[in-house]
Amino acid sequence: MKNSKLNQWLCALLICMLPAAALAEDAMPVTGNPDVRESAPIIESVASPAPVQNNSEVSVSDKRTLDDRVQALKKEVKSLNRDLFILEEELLFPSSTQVAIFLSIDVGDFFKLDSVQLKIDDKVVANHLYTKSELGALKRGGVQRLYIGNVKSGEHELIATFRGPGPNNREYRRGTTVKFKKGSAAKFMELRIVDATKKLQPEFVVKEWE
Amino acid sequence: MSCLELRVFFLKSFRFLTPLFLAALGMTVSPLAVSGAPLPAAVKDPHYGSVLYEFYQQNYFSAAVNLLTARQLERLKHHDADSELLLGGLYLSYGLHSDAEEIFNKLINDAVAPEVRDRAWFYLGKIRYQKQLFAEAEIALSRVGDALDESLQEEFRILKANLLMAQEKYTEAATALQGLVENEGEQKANYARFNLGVALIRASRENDDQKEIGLEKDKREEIGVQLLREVAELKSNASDQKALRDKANLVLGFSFIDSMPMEAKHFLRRVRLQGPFSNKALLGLGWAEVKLQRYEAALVPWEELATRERTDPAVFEALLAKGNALERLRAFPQAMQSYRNSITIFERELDALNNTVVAVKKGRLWADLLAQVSRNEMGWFWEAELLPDTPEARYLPVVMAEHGFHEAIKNLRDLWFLDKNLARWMIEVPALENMLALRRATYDAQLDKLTPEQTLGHVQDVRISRDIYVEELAGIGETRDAFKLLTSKEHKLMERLSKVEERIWRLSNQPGRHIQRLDSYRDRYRLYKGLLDYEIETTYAIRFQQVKQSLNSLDGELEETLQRQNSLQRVRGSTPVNFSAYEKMINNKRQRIAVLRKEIKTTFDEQQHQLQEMVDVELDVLRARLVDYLDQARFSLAHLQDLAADAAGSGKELK
Repeated sequence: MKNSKLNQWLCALLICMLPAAALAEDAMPVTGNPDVRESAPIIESVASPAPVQNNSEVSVSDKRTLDDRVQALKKEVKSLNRDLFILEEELLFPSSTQVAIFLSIDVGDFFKLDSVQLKIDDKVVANHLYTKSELGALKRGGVQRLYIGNVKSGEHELIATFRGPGPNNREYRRGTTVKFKKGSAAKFMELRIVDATKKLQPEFVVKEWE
Repeated sequence: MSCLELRVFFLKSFRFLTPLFLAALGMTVSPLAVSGAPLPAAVKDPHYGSVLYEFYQQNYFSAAVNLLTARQLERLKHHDADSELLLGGLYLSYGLHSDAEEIFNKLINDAVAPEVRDRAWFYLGKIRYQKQLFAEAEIALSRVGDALDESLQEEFRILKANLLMAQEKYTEAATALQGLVENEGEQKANYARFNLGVALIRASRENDDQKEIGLEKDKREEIGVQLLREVAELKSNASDQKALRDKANLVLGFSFIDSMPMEAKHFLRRVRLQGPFSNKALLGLGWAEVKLQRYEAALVPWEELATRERTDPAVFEALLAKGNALERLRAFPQAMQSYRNSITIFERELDALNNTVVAVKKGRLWADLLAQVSRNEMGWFWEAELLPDTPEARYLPVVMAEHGFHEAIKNLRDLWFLDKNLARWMIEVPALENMLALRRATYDAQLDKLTPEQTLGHVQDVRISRDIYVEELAGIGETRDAFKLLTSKEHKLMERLSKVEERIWRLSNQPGRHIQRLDSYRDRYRLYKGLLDYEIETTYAIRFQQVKQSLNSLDGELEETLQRQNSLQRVRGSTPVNFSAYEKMINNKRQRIAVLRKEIKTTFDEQQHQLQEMVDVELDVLRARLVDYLDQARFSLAHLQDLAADAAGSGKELK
């Protein structure tokens, strides 16, 4: 009698242990690698207990509708942002006065950019301190729009001052000056930090985009 | 509990190792790149570069918006195809699968280069795989030709293998992965090796209806185990590789507990003591010792496990198993104490769990959760790794580890991000209105100064003057009189010389000592006058030509002035309309923002409610499990107390 009761109890124990084991795997904390989690559906299909799966199935159909709505909202906000950015540019930075300064890094072995200061006509218009992720993006070929503003038609002077450790890890501070003429079209200029391999020094080049 | 009962208990307890092993086998991993967007070409337009700048920082929303804006303003002329491919990738990263699919479909239908088409098929397959549309994903991947970029080849093969595994076609998955594991030295190969090992073992345990791989069932398992052994021994300092090694050791350890417990111990001991798989390893180590009937040794890992974070089911199991091992050692008083401790812990954890349930029901959790993730810009591949460190959230890593939860939390986070984005625009819209008002005021103020009638009058006056000058120049041309073409400076010099001449004449009529110097004055005057006359007379031709050219260019400038005047006239006519259009546009956007924010709020509440329900269900499951553990501990304790009472009744001590 006692044995039979124990066996029943053990069966119950095992039933609840099975999902415990399975869920224990699901719940397992993972490393920083997000891919490690990709196996979740497989684990579910093999080891998840039936009641939980049923619940998941019910919620999946609900979730799809909600997912669709979230996607639609994302799409709407994305389009609205585009329209607002265009509107902002047309109103705040019309092409007749617009000047935009970009910054890029080519290789960058001889200089690690820490900060940059931008002056137009002797007036500081931008200061930027770089984060690791921003520098990473620049090194991979990204181009930062450092400044967008307005200037009158005619001659102007741009001074960019770069700071950061240079060759031999010595603190490096270099300025580059360029005169530019603003016409009726928007003016785009790019400050490029390139490695001059012959001199083993960084070079700061200014490029005017058409 | 009799020896037989104990044996039954242990025998049955071991059964859970099989599903645990299977679940461990299910822990296939993939080294697929998370963002998965196409590799960009060299930057030929700065605005394309600034899209990449955001993209590389995983700011997918900003990157997509920047790209759309730049394209609308026609600033990506050199990157037409690239930007389309990048946009597809961005949508994929951003979670807009349908839009991404649309772009890739379009690229496929357009007559694009084979490498672009192959890439598009590849990404379509990837999207469909992520959406769990496996059959459709298979079709897309089957269309990828020979022109797929080299850098994507490995990911492509792994994706194909994962797809097969997701469809439970383990033997085909194993075949798909076979080539990859030969690529030694690469970290990805270790993932592939692990996946192949798992796939082979699973295939060998399937029904024997799949013979395509041409290997005997046992052989497949043997190869699978061998591959896992290789991963279990890999040497690396990379954290993901270490985790992979732990995982392989764990899988192998559990697979050998029944058949070769000593071997199992060898693998389980290799799992790092502090790591994501250490709890499972300690649990398994204890069971391996039990299999060897070394109950005292089994207590060592379980004692360690019992001190760990008590949200992990492995810890709960260890607490219970510890009592059983002590019982097996016939240390009944200690076993009873162990059960009592377990009961206290289970009861306490049940209380904590109930508190979590209450906190979740009150919605407190979501505010904490979103406060943690506020720094991340949304992206499809974001992971819910920043769970709040609050008592309420203690059980969340356990219940939210499933894919469905991640997606729901991502949605919640994305909606929150969208709302913040629109809230920012709501603040900036007045700035646009102010700018518009300023421009309108400036326009009105300048309007009077820009009267076209006045300008036309000026132009007319200049033309009359010009005609007079032309006539005069013609007269000069006839007489060749260079002195009529003097510059203002020369005029002044001529006037000064005349005055000097006049003074010399006056001095010559006055007596005095200066008479002696008059000759020298006259000489100098004649010299300077002669020089100036010579200069003027010898440069007649040049002067004449310069004046003629100036008059000619005046014609062009007058023409330009008239054109500007006409253009100004047009602008003057259309500007009030532009102002109204802008005004309308701003109002329209403001309303759109308000409507969207309302929709976002509704969807957010709904998503939160749904997530709450999901958490409730999972917490209920966890609670039921804890209640079961509690019952087991209570039952075992009661059983021991019965035995003790029986022993006391018969005048013996329970030993």
